[in-house]
Amino acid sequence: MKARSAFWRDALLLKELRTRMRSRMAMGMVSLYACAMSLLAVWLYTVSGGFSSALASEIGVSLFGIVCWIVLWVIILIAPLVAAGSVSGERDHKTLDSLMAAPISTTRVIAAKLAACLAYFAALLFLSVPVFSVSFIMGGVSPGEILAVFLTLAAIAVWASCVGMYFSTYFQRSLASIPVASVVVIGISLVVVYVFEGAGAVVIRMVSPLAQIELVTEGGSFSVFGYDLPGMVPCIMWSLLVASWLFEAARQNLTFPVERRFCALRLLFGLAVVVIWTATVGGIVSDVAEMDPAPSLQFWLGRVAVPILMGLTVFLLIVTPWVSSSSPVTYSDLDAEKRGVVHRFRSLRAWVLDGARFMVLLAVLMIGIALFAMRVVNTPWSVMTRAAFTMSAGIMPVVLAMACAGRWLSGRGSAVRRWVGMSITYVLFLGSVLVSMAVSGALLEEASERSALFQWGFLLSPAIGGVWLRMTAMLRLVLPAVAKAQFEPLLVPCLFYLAIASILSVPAYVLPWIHARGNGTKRQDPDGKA
Amino acid sequence: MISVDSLTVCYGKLKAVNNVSVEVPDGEVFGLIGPNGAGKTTAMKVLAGLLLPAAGTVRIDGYDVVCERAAVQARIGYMVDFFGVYDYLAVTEYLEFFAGVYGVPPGTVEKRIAEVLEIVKLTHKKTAMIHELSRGMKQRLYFARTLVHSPSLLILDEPASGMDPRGRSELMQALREWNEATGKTIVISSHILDELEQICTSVGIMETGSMVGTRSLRGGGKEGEKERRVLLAVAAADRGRARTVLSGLAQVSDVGERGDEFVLTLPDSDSVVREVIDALAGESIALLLPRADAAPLEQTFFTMTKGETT
Repeated sequence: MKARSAFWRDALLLKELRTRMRSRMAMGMVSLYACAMSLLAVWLYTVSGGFSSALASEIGVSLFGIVCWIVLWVIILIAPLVAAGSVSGERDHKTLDSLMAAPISTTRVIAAKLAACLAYFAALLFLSVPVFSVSFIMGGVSPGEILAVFLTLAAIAVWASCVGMYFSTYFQRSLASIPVASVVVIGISLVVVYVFEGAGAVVIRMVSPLAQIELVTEGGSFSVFGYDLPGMVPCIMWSLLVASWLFEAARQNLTFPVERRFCALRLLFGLAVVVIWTATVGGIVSDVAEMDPAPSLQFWLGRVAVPILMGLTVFLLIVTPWVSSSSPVTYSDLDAEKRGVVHRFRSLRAWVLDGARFMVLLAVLMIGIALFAMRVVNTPWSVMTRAAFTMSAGIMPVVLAMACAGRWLSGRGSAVRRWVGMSITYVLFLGSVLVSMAVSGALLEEASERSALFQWGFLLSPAIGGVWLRMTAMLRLVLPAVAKAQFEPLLVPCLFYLAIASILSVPAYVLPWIHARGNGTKRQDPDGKA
Repeated sequence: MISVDSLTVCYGKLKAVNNVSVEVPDGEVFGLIGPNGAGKTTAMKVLAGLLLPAAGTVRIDGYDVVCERAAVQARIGYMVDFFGVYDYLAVTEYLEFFAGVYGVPPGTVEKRIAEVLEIVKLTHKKTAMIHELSRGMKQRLYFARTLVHSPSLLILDEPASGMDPRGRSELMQALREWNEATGKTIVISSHILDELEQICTSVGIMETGSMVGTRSLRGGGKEGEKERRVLLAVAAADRGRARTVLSGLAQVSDVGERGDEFVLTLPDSDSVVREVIDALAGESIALLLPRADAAPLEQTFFTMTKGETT
């Protein structure tokens, strides 16, 4: 059985590689690229005055940078062309139905297509080796630096291919998927680096391949949990994380093509939550690192609180878009009673798998918190973190309660009653958002002015998360097929989030009381003001 | 073999298939006919595990097409109406790929490919690239793909569309032979009804997403089980008595009327026809025009459908 399984898996990959590499476009592009790289190598050698030049090492470094950018742009420009046509191209040529009628999973189909795309880029990277080696021979560049650039470029190729793959499954025709994927890849590459600036935006900038290559070629490092990591580590991590979300979303699109717009909305909101959380937490960590240590109970507990926040961000970073890209359509909306035992088993298995997935992520989160708590020292208690806890602890239960009420009201009675119920819950939700914002804003006014941007980011991030949840619930009402679904993949992460927020809320309210009883003095804020 | 219960498929608000129920036993050649937009292709896609039903259940060999999709798909060979092939593969590479994904044991792949190429008469093209083949050859290759894993059920959506008359005839011949040799089930749709009539043992007629009727056809089974339809015209004065006599004959399985004629469904035997004529003659009922029904399926189609589309 195992041998047979391996055999057909190879058959799928073999077919993808054959069809990919034998196409005229692929052959033409590789040939063109090889010619261009050869000419570039000759030209570089000529203009640099040969390997014996006195300035060889300086020229070598410059050439290295230039070649990196050339290869990067080749990947950015070609990846959407190659990957975005992989599934929609099958539709164009009317071969997709035959493929999907075979007993193979959508995961394997997407994986095989991605592997074929990456094999193509591996060929392109391999063709770049002679040009890289010119700068290596001239000196000034170490093998380690070249390896770092190669790995980063490979991760960028994975990311760009997954973007193309996602749009390839989203759109019906290559005529739409290829230009949209191209615009998105080039747009993210260019826009992100110019829009996001400052300490809190460092992580977000890593989404852009331009920022990644800039960091890696300049030999920059990245401080995580107190350790200085090589610049390529966060770059590769970001690329692969985003790629994994898009891979999952592409798989869902192929499995449930009717629901692809719904999945895209969830993915978009999820990404928005993660981006804002990442920016704001990045800013807070930067801020607290500059604060003076204060030997008090608050100081020590604060050392734990901020890492927990950081861990929560990591959790959101990994889970949110992944879960939000999942389709809510399951077997339960296919006439549950007739499915009997098989249906119940499937549903139960889905729940168990989801639970297991979150348990693994929880373990990762806890390890991250422990590592961070061990390393960070300058983490005093601050008004800003208290405001964040208030937001987390205050707004999320309200949002969840409203969502549950909306589900309960909307799940029964006439269409009018459903819409009335939805409207009431939505108004209540907005009210709760405003109240929470007002309370948190009042707390934030006490905080330092210098991190106002991050405070507002912090203030808004749970609200956007709430809107995302609410929107999800609304969509369930609007789309009849979705409304029938009994299984709610968001419920598990929501409950998890609620639990975390509740735990976080305890020190936010208990600590000031302890502080007041303990020393009877005024609390020290981040700027040392009384 | 196939059990469809209250199947409903929706595209948004449109019900492409509406509450369809049908049973197809093992070994049957089941024809699915209906006007364009009747829901035939949609229903076939559900059988092939390509579409999720909004309601109802479909079981093939006892496996649910939704919950046990992989098991179902491993048992069927599905031929889509508008097909495509991978132009940059060779003929044998194409078949090897599908043999691989359907789990044909590696040791038997070569032999199996040779067999199916022989069935579709493409052995001489086995090393050719697919883009070098004519459209008819590509269609035959595509049909070979559906057979390569020896499926227990063939689902063929307009398999002969676009083929020249010879190609169509050869394909139908190949299907008949495959069915007779293996005893396996075929579900086939086509707008060319006389071809379906040649190979089908029963048909289902669909219109606006609903199954408006099913009926058994002659052929496909053993010699003694075949049926034929005969048209009988009698004098207007004798019609009432003739109906009574015909209804009382055990050999006549169905008595219908079309215009001035009776449409009789009988065992496919000349002696039975003679017995019917003798029975009428015994009651002094004169036959004006006994003849075989030339195109019963086409007549049935026009009788049962109204030309509506969804």
